[in-house]
Amino acid sequence: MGRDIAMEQIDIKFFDPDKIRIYIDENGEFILEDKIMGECFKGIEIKALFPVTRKANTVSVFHDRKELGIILDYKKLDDVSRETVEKIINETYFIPEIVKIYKIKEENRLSSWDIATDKGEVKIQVHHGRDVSLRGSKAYIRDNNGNLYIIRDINKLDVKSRKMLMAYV
Amino acid sequence: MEANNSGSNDWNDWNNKIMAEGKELPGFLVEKLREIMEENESPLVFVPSDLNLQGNFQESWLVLTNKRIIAATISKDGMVEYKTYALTLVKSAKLVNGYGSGAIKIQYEFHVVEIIRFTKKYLKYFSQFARYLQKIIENNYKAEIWENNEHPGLNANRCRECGRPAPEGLTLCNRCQTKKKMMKRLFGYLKPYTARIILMLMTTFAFTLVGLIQPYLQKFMIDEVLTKKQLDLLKFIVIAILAAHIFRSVLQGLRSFQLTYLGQKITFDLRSDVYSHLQKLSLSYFDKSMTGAIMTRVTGDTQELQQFIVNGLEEIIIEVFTMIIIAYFLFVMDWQLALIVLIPAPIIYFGTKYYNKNIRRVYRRIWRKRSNMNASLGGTIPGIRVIKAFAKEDEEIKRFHNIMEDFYQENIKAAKYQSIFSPALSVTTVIGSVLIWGYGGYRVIVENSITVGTLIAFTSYMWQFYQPIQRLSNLSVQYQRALTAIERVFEILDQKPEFVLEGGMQKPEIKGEIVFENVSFRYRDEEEVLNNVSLRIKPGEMVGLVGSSGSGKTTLVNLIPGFYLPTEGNIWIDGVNLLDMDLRYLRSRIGFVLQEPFLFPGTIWENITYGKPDATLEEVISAAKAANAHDFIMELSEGYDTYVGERGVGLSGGQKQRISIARAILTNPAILILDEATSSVDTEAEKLIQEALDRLTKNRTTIAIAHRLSTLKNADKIIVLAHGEIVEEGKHEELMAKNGVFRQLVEIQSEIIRDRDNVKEMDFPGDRELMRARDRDRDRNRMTFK
Repeated sequence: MGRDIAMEQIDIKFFDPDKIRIYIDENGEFILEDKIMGECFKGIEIKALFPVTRKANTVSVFHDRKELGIILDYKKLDDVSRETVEKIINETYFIPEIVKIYKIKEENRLSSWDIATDKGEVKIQVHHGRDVSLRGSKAYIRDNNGNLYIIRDINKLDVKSRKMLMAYV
Repeated sequence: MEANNSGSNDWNDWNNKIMAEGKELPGFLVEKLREIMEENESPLVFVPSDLNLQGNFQESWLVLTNKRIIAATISKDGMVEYKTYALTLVKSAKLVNGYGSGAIKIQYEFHVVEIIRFTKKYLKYFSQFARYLQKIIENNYKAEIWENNEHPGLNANRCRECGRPAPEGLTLCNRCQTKKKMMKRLFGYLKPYTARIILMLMTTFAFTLVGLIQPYLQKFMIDEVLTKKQLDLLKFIVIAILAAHIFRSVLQGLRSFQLTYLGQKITFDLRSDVYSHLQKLSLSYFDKSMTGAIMTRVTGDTQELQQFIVNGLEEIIIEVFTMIIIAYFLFVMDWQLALIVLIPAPIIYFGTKYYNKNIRRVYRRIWRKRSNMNASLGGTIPGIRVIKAFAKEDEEIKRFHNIMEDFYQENIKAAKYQSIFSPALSVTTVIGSVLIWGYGGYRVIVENSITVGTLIAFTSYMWQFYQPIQRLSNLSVQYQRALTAIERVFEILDQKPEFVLEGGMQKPEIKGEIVFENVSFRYRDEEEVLNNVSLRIKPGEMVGLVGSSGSGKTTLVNLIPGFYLPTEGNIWIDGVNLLDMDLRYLRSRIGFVLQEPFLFPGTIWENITYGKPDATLEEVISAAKAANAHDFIMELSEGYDTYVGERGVGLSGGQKQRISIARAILTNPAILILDEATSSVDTEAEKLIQEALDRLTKNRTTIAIAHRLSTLKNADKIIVLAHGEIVEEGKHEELMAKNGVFRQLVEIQSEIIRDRDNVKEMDFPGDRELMRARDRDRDRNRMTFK
């Protein structure tokens, strides 16, 4: 596409990972420091652009509800900054990854799933006609309370778990 | 009057001048013309018609020569009556399009004369004729030779099998659609699986043969073991019976798997073919077909065919094979008894034939009713909001109930036929068995010419012989259903694909120059939606299209990407005729922002990158930002990963619109088409969208159909359409100064806005919200049922 006319008129900033620093100050506040301009933004918020699919490590930095700019790949930041961003993301987005399915029991329109996730074992209720979807090799399961669970690669599940899952997608 | 006065009266040459497909000049007319035409007079075109001037059916012809117009009628006995009209006295020619028929009228200095009438069948040709004649008149009666310069891909609707004319839009004529040919075509889908079919057939034959050995073992058991009390043979015969049963069961499992496999494979292939063919069809096909009905064909009908292949085909093969083998056994055992077995066969055969004829009609009706049911659901479920808003739930329930009632009644009719046919068939076969018991018993008791074992084996075989006949006749139900399904499925496959796939190859650099040269367009046989439209849009120009609804605005923009092709005239994009252009390429260079944005089921990211899947992160985010979409996407907890379900539920109309604008921005189109992009959103969303559109349209050829005329203030040119013709053209201020249609439209709109503002001032804020919501719903309603 290149920078065409429509793009030239917009106000958007992509941070150069070498020119910023993100850290937690002594008061526990998240700080973004612009090394070049010498500016500091206290109490920043970080939102992931792809919190579910993790398609890319792109995040957007907000300050006072305004978007300061976008970091296309936060993994390219220095170690401290990267760890800080990861910490914020992990705290903000709770999407447990299912690693094993023990049992699925059907009860009318709901099914009850006994699963093991990267955040521990849990029993969830799922509306199976609607809330289990497969996109590529990823599976998304939304429970009755709206929580999202993900299976990043169904081929990596054990055969028994995969068989049980496939009956519901 | 000059040109073409070769004076050639050669019949073939004349036939080339007929403005209609597949027509030949009748000999009587040729004779008459030769008689009346002067020496230096030669015909330019011939147009056939099917009505006389009184509006009754009669073969008629309009002949235009370099001197006059000759209107001739031909009676059944070959009498030619004619009237002539001197060409140089004609001031103008006009096509009058009525309901079901039309006429050509010519204007003399002081009066108008109707010279020919015709039905819709010939409307297309007379429309061409009127234009051609008018051109000659405007050209000071200087005739140009008429050439059939219609693109070969557009008309020439011939059957791909036999070359006869095919119904419009289809590639196969009715003659090539016989039951036999359709079945043959279905079996064509079996071809890739020949090896598996052979395996299945072998399993089936083995299965049947093993089944046939069993009565023989019974005969042996009675005559040789039990009657002669041979105990040592008993264990062998018992083991043989058991082994035969086990072997038969194994074969049955094997055969059933093979059949299911084949059925599934064929349905898969058929569905893929139907779906990919659907993607190739032009928009006009989808205009005239209901979504629900198309879906029935892709899912339900192909399923029906699968069942026929799995159950039906299997049974036909087994039963026919069984019948042949048993008939052989019967005749070998006793030819006289065998003949008695055959007595009911002709009754069964003719009865089944009669039944099939009737039941097929019923099944066709059932199919139509089921399709109505699906279409009704497909039409109302997406519009549930409107139904609720107008409190029409009860009416909708009643309407659906009526459709179901129809469906139910047809099924009952089919069941009635079946309930008469099946018992009648049983009685017929019982007659055969009674005769066998009677005559066979007599032969055992009185003549002693056959053994008891033979009689028992014979009756056992006899039932095995009748069963296939009965099953085959029951199969006719399945066969008829399958035939109906095949008809429907192949009807899609036989639809002529969109011209795009057979179209041109040129891929010029698209800068955005668009020229319409005397373009006319009509949907099928309807009246012209666009009439002789000529316009020139320069690269980078912003053009507003204005007109009341039905004036042809949307049709005009649909012609640019070749969604529909002009019935007459030419469209040039950057100097290349649309017909010579690779339309897929052209479409990839055109961006669309439609009134009702369509989002595919998928994430926001997938929707934005639909036209450019390889876009970089930076490009996509920038496009979303430019479309004023990025900020609201970041407000969503799942960001660009947010899944927008069926038709993008969960997002507001304005948000969906901004995603569709981002999609358009990302492809960086050279030509942009905006079809009432802001008409279905509220004022605040409109502002954001307008801002995004302003970014998008800059220095790009843009054709905007605008609902709110004020948005066209900055347009380089505004085109006002009325009844398919351009009535005004110019800049906003020029048109306002002109005091014409545009100014009138602007004034009406300002009045509406003023009235609305007045009402808003009087109401409470809550009412205002309600009113806005109602406006939105009304707009949506208008879109849905447009």
